[in-house]
Amino acid sequence: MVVHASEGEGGDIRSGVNMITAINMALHRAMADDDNVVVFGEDVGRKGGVFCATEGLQKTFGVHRAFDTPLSEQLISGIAVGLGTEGFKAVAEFQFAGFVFPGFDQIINQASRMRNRTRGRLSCPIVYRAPWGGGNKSPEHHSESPEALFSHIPGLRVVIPSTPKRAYGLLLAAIRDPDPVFFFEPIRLYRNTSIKEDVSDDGVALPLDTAFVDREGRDVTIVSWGSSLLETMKAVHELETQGVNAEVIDVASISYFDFETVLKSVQKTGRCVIVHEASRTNGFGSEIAARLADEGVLYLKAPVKRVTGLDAVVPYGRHEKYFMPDVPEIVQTVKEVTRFPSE
Amino acid sequence: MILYYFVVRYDQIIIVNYEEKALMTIHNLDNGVPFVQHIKPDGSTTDSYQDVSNEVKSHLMSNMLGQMIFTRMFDQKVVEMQKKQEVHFYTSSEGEEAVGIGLTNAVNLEDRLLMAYRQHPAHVMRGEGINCVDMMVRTMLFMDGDEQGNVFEAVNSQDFPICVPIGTQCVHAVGVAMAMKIRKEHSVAVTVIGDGGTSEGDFYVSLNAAGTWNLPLVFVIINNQWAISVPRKHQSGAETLAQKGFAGGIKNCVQVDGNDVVAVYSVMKEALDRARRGEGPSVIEAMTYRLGNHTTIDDARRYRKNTDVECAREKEPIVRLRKHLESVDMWNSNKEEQHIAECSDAIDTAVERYKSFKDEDPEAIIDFMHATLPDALKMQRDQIGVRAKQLEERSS
Repeated sequence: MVVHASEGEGGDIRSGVNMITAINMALHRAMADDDNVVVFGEDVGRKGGVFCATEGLQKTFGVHRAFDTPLSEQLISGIAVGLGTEGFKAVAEFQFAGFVFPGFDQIINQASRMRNRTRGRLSCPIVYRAPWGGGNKSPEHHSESPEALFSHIPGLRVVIPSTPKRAYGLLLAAIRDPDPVFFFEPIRLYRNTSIKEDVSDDGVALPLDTAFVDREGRDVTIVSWGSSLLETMKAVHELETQGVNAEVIDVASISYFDFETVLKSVQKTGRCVIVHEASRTNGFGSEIAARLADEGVLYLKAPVKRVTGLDAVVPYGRHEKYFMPDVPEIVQTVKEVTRFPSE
Repeated sequence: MILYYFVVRYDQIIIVNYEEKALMTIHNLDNGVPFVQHIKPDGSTTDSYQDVSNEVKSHLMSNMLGQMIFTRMFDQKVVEMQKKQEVHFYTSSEGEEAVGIGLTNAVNLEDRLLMAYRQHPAHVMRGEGINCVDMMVRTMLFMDGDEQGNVFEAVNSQDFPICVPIGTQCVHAVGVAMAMKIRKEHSVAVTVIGDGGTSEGDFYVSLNAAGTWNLPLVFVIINNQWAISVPRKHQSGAETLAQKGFAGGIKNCVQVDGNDVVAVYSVMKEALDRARRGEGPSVIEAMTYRLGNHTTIDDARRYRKNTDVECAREKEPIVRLRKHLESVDMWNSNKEEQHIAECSDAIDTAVERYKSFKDEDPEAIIDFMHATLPDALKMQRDQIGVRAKQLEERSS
């Protein structure tokens, strides 16, 4: 889907909004629109969340609709199944993506399967939210980007926004979806000032399962998502000065992945570079490359390349910059691809 | 430091439950869990039997005997069918019938059951009568590998399908009980777990949350002494499994003779009434014994002595209630024969219906993944048709 400047017009416009505020706006909107929306997790009530995503919800909607849980991810992910099946829209917050795993079983074995195993008799309208990704010099276990793990779970959608508007529109879409969605929020973008934008609080959701063409170009397609789009866009501007005109796609919905948009772009450019900060092997970039090998081989004029995090444990703050894909490597890789075959 | 804290907490619990025993040494710690039994293995009654309501004594007791006989016959039938490959797999509940039957008679239809496997007596008898044939069919379908076995619409659309990964249903029950509390319903969530399941983290987080939020939730532990081959004593150093609830702030933690259906019914009623009055959750540990194999592919002779099983068989639930009812002239062999004939007919009807139950189209694998199928899945749905055709061609 090509996104134009008019995306999301029509409501009360708040100017210069960062991503965390946009998420907070979407939560307020969803709870105001639907009494069945309940928000819970560790510190989401009185404190309003460790990143302030849920600020004001308890005050506005009461302790039965925005509440703190005992400190247990198993509990958070499991009660979402109970509440969701009972007809609530459960919006469950994990404090960090690296802390989800005690609750992984409930997500993979229960939430994602309820509709299927009961043949539609019961279902789990759940949004699991978690701050995601590195680049913040955070302590151990606070910088993970496990979207590929979750994208391998049938019955679960995985969404990662890259701008305040998309955070607002996609979170609303996730909450309105009748099935479970994992919504990863890039920590590095929460308060990033370079992506601040006016966000219209119009209650308009953006489509799930849809990639966004952020920039049209002719020479190469760069596919990315989440905070890696920051480095991608910087690299694209640098490449432009060197005569390389890149098209940029924000995947946004990891699952279900909108391959058509990528294929259409590669049909035009003939070249593709994938950028993500998660580890390389079996990262979601592997799926994109495999799909291109399968369905786009005749369009390709060069190998599909990936610029990714390493197959190593995310380092603590000091060495993080050596782990993450950065501008020079993206520029270099795109040049290799656009010059292929080199003389 | 930790030990000290434990003792202090423990004493507080005992003060709450047994005020007369407030001062205790660490060697004499009572576990604080009462044990309830109304009918002894020989069919005679205990002192507490006088507290049993007239409703139970006048007809419910004999109904429950009939139901236990019924579900045991059903179990035997399905085990037999499994040997003939008519059902792929089965988990017999032989010996544990009193727990499922006691609890299913105590709950209201609006209450929600969230069960582990092996509790089909409760499911089959849920809403007794006209629905039980359908529930037998569903049970067989599930065991044979058909998801349609989880469609309990005939009984109560809000009951959860059984949870195969151990303990997960407890956390769902917390969410369900929260939903009931938020909506100010007078319903109760009842979750059932085995003795092995109480070792799971999900069980502990659920006790903790149920106590924290004072939820209308009843945990029923079916302590049948075996988690496949691991005996109860290797699951926990706790003297009782019920006492685990105390640490979660749950006040009503009791043990019941799980082979005494009248006692199971009484403690369940009490726990449900407490929950409906807003007095919070309960933990009921039903002491019973798994007389059969874990599943039809298990051979329990490899890890337990036959003499132990025979010893346990003397305490089983059907024999004692039959003896008791015969002694008060409410049951006799004529009645039993007539009942068995009726059960046979119902089971035969269920088996017939099961055998002719229409298979789903293979596309059903995909159809229920989401409310609306995403394009990516539609493509794979088409692929199933192609695969099915290829398989058909290959086999013809």
